[in-house]
Amino acid sequence: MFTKIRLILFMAVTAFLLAACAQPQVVEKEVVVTKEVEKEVTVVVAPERIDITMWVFGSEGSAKADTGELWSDFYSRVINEYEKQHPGVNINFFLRGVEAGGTTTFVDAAVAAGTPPDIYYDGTFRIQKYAQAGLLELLDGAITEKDKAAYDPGILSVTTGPDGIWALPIGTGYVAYVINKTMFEEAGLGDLLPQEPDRNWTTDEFLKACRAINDPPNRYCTMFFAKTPSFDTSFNNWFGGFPGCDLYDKEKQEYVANSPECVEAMTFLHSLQEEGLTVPGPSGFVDDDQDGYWKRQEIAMTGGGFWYNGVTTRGLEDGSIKGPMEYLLVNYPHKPGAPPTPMGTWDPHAWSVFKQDNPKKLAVILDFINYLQQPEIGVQIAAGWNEVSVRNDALNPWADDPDWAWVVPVVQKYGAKNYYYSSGVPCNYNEVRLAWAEARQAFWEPDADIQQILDDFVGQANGIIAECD
Amino acid sequence: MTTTTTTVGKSDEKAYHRGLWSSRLGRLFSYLVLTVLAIIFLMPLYWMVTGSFKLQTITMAVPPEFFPSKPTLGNWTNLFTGPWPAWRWLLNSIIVSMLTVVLVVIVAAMTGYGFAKKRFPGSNVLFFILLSTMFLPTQVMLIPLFLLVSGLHLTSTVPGTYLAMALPMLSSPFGVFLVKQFASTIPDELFDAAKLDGASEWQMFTRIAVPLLAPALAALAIFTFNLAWNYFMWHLLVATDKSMYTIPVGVSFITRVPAYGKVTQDIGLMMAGGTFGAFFMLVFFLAFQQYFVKGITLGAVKG
Amino acid sequence: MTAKLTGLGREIWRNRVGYLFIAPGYLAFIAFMFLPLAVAIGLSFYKASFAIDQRQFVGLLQYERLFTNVKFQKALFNTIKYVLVVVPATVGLSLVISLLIHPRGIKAQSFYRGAFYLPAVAGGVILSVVWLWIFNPTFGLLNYLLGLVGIEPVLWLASTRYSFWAVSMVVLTFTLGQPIILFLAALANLNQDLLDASVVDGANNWQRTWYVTLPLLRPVILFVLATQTIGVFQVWETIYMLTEGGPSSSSTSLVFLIYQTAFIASKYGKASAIGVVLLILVAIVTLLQLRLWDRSEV
Repeated sequence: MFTKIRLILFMAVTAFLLAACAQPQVVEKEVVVTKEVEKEVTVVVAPERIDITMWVFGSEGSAKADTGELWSDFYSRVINEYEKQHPGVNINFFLRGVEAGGTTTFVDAAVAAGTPPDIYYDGTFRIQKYAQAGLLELLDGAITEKDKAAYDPGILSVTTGPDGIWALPIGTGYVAYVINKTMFEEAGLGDLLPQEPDRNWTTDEFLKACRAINDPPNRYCTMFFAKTPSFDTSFNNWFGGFPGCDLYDKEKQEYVANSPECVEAMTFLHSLQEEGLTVPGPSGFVDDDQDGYWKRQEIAMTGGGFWYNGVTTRGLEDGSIKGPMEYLLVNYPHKPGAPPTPMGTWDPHAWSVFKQDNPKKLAVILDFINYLQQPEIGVQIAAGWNEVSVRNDALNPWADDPDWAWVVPVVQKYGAKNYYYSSGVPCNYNEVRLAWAEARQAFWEPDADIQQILDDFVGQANGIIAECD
Repeated sequence: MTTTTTTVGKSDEKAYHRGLWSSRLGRLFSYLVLTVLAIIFLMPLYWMVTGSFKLQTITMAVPPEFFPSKPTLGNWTNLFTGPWPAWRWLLNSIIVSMLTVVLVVIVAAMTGYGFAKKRFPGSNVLFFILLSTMFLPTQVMLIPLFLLVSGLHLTSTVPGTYLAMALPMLSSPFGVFLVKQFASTIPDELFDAAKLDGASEWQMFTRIAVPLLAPALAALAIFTFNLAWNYFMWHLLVATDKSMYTIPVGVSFITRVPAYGKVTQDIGLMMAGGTFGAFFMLVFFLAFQQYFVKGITLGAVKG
Repeated sequence: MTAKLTGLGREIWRNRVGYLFIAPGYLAFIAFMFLPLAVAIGLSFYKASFAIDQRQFVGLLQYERLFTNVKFQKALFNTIKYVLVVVPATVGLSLVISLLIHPRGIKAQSFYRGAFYLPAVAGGVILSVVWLWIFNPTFGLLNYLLGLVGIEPVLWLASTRYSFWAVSMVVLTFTLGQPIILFLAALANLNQDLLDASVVDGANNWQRTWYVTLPLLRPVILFVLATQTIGVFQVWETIYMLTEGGPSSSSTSLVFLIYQTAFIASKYGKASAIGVVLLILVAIVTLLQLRLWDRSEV
């Protein structure tokens, strides 16, 4: 009897939940651009219909171009425009979000099934594994010599292999260091911060400011995180202050992070932790944890600055940061006597094209990529990831923004550098990145043997590239 | 010896064979130990549910607040209005689990009945092979299965994805074993009588065996539902889109990748997601506890 | 038609009903268990990725590489360690809890049984979400409670010293439920005569538990041991959610390494080789346990 009553109750709850589910609570995020058929365009020869699938890796909704338009809406508009100009071409656009694992298994699945998208937009090192497997078309045909000359050669070389360009970069972001200026000023320590116009400082100056502002557990000087490979560039940028320290040597094609310079750099960072200047437990943190510390104003400064200007502005807007909070972007510190640190850039996002059988279709795709990489469109696409265009002739959408007004001249003066890899993505990079995350985790152990950790990493990483053949 | 018998004697006639700590003090003590242990084991769930009603600032407060003094529904509003289809995840989980249950129960009933009631050459060997797969770590098969569902293009459609999520569970030896154990206890005379009445093999299965197997099948269904619900790793790999996540995958998504939605890790939201994810299954369990128990004990060796 | 069939065929035809009943189940097993297993073993001799058509036969190379791979060694070592830590803890603790629950009334039994099984129902992912918060070094509940008794904050998930134990602890909370249910069922079915006889012999409660009850429970204990072992070998979601195997591989496991190798590094051949090693490991342990079992039947 009781069982029956319970069964009925349970069925009722289930029915209710199912009914609730049936209501379209959240609109599906897959944005499929359906083109209205243009009946007026009467072409003499009916054009051959060409269907192109395009997957863009990015966040939906909240990612906006600087026009304030939703990113997906922007894409729809651009695609509609292109389709109007090219009758017969039909582009199916999908904005694909990140998976819970932070991986792109669905692309792997599509490749394994033999049905990859035609065009794929993602970070270069995620694209690289498809290039490495020989699955991508070369994109040299998508840009003219004039276009090519407009690209930042340092960035373009990242995605250029011996045969040609395997992915066409659109945008990248700068890393910088970010300081909670309000915190320093309230403590009367404003004069310890790097000075205009270049905002460079030495590790000694950094240490002095760090010690002065540190007041745990209410307030730590800075923070590191190492649980996952995510945003490791904000850590790697420290290499720049210790010239000679590099993760990878492109000439020798091997990892060289166990150089004396790197040992010196990592020892310095380890000493910050030993001294209690950082939030304890970096190896268990991800970048999202760091967002929290930053927003609660519990850390005075941190790496990954050109992410945190956005986090701060939005946080103040939506009330998740209790103001006042003014931030200051500065360069990463360099050791006394060394030149100022070159500005770090993060993994550029790029276009890639999976292998095509139909030369006609390939020609259309390359033409479409060319269309998308025009400066005024490329700028907007880059903006979706908080990035600037890698073309020199593109307008800087943030030209009026004081953050960028500072960084552009600094980059021109001291250069920019990608600290993931010097130039060109080494093969099996995803696996090396995992190994590097492990090494970074090991740095924070109380009795860490920095030389040993770096030697182990280099051994592992070189073992991984040796498996490339 | 005498002392023992006297304690066993009159006052406590039944208690002597009941086990440890039968004296009043002992009983009190054992209740105390059990309650403390239960509190420890249930604490995370309590913490999760109450956490879902706490303000962001309070979730990070030291000392922590054991009961939300200013309860808020904000986390729940965020969960249902955020850029993730939480209800859809629940729907997916229900559909996938039910589909798995239906498939597993039908297949296990037939196979288990076949092994229990039909004698045929090789049946012992075939059953032993099947049983031995109980000890296979399923993750070894992950890549081939992944290639299989990709190759069949199952994940390109919604029903296909549900099917892809459910199919690998079909090869669960547990269900077959459970049904076989149970079916062996059905007296053969029942089938012989039916046969004399002219019943076909299929009729004997559906009209005699299935009704008698019902308690075991119900237990198997409930148990499989829970297993399918928590078949996280496979669902994670098969779901090619956020709208196809099951509840655990969705919850891990909220926890692990908030930054892509440009939202900072939000503990209240995580707890609301966790509570939402656990709620259905917990109600399910409380409603069908005895079936869970049966499912677990029937599949085990006889105690 | 039947007449034309030869020996074996005729035998099969005669028993077709039996074969037909097991056919759906067996086909499912072939499709989703035996074939994938064969493919996995086969793949371990290849260098392969998602571009599966381009796989190259490399013989035993993947295995050779594995045994010089530090990360693999750590994962192998940790997997064994998880089994050696979590399984005895689960069996021991659930046995004690069951012996405590068993003498109580039906209502209390069902209450406590439910309470200890609830975490298992919620599942590893959901539990890990809340444990992530509880383990937080600065505002987590655990460090707060430890602080009350004067213990310094511990970096549960962020130090090589504790991450393994943190993961084990969480795993333990949801492995406990099933054995308790089994032990309670077994205790309820114990041979009452033997227990009564021991009372007559003058054994006290402790002696009876130790010398009579436990030996009678032996088959169930062995069963629990076997199922828990295979379960703990497969622990994955807790690691995925809590530590990602870190720091420095201190909490990783073979299954987690399979996931990373296959779906982050896209090395299907290498991941399959790790899978085969896991398979062999599980087979060895299972055979050992079966021998234990055999001896107990004597």
